[in-house]
Amino acid sequence: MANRPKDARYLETHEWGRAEKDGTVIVGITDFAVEQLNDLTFVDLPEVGDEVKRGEAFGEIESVKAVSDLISPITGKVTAVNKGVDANDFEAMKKDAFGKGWLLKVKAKDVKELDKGKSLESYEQQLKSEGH
Amino acid sequence: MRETPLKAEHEKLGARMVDFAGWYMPVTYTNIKEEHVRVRTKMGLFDVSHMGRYWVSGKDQLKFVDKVITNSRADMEPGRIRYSLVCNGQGGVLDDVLVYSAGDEGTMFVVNAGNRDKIWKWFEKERKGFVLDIKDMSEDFAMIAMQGPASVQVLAKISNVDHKALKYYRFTRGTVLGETDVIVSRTGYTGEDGFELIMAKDKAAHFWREILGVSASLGGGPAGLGCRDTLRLEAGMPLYGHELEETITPLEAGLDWGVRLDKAEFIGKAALDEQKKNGLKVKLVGLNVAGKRIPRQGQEIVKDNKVVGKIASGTLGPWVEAVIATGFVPAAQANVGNKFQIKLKEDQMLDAMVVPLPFYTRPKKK
Repeated sequence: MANRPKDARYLETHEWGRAEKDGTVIVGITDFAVEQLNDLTFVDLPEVGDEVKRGEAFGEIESVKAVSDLISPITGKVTAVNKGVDANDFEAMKKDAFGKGWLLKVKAKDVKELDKGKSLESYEQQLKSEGH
Repeated sequence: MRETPLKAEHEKLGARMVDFAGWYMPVTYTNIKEEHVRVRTKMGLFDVSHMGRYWVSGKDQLKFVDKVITNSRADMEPGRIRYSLVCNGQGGVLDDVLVYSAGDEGTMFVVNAGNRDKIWKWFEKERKGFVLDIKDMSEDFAMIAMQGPASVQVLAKISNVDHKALKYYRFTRGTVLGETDVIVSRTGYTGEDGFELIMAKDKAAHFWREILGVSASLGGGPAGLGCRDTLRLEAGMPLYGHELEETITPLEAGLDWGVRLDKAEFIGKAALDEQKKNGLKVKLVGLNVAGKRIPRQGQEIVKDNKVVGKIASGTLGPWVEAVIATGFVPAAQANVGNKFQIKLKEDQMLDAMVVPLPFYTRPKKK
């Protein structure tokens, strides 16, 4: 199991967001989500400059078996997109979901909004209650 | 959820388990691509115990079987297997099945897990007036499929069955791992050479472990339902609930070779004769899809801004390394090379072109 960061906030739908000092929020999906999706084939990410909104889909991720929406844990403007992942190279996500496998960097409108998400403890509680 | 006798084995191997047609089944042990390639190049071991196995015997068994299947039973020698459809009166497909001939002794049906109860009820309804015994042997036996080029070597190591004598779509009763009376058939659902074994349920775990042990040195390993689906789609084989449904006829699904319209009578024949005479309205085609996105069942197929059909199955073919799909389109537009669009969502279309089925054929042995 990956070392899930304590300072990140999590969504029930398995996205995470972590605030940098400058108010940028890094967004990704958890190691659990990557493992569940397993055979990833495609990801659709927004472009730099696009707006994302907390609780709304910012993209899609597809595996051989299914397509899932990617839900944003934060509202703001996209300042960077992980180029490797955007080119459908999923190795970084598989190996390092909370590091090199990030998806977006977002200039948050209000960083505090991130705290509406779950703490690590609460997210792991959720996984446990779902039987994982 | 229903469980096979191999549930504990799957869990021990760390399989990802899912609900498949009400059955608790392994979808992957590692990932689809790895297991798919293993079957194409070495060997994969599948638990297919969830499929139904019915034994039909008695004075009228031949007549009954020929009434309920579209293929022909009467002219099958003992030890032969045929693919067939079971149709309703409108020619719609109730299930696709394998029919095993034990000559006058009886006939075994292998039916889809999701259609077990339906076919049982159908047979119960249609057997009236026949002197017949229908036995459900599904729960007493387990079924394991060894698929891939190394299967012949594995079989040689575990049984006395001469694989050279056991040609494609034939079965025999042999000794496997010291067990007598194991049904060994040269059949499968992957497009590869391989065998399916039917053994007593309490022997299943022993068989599973032994075969995995023997096949490990040949590059074999367990394979889940995930790659079973991608393998069968590459090989152009239909999956009930996708390419086959009660509203689809075998002719529309391109399965003419499993329908013997020259047979005197079977359920659905009149409707199929009629359809053959009048020509097909829709037809199943293979589609090569541009890009990385996978079309999903039910998505619309569009031609000149008009919806003309629907997707049946889609996947990223791990071996052919292309996005492939099947779908039903107007028969007049089903020719190879014809171009369509697939509506992924409101504002997103995929380009697709009709290609011959199957997408993959295994290389002929030298």
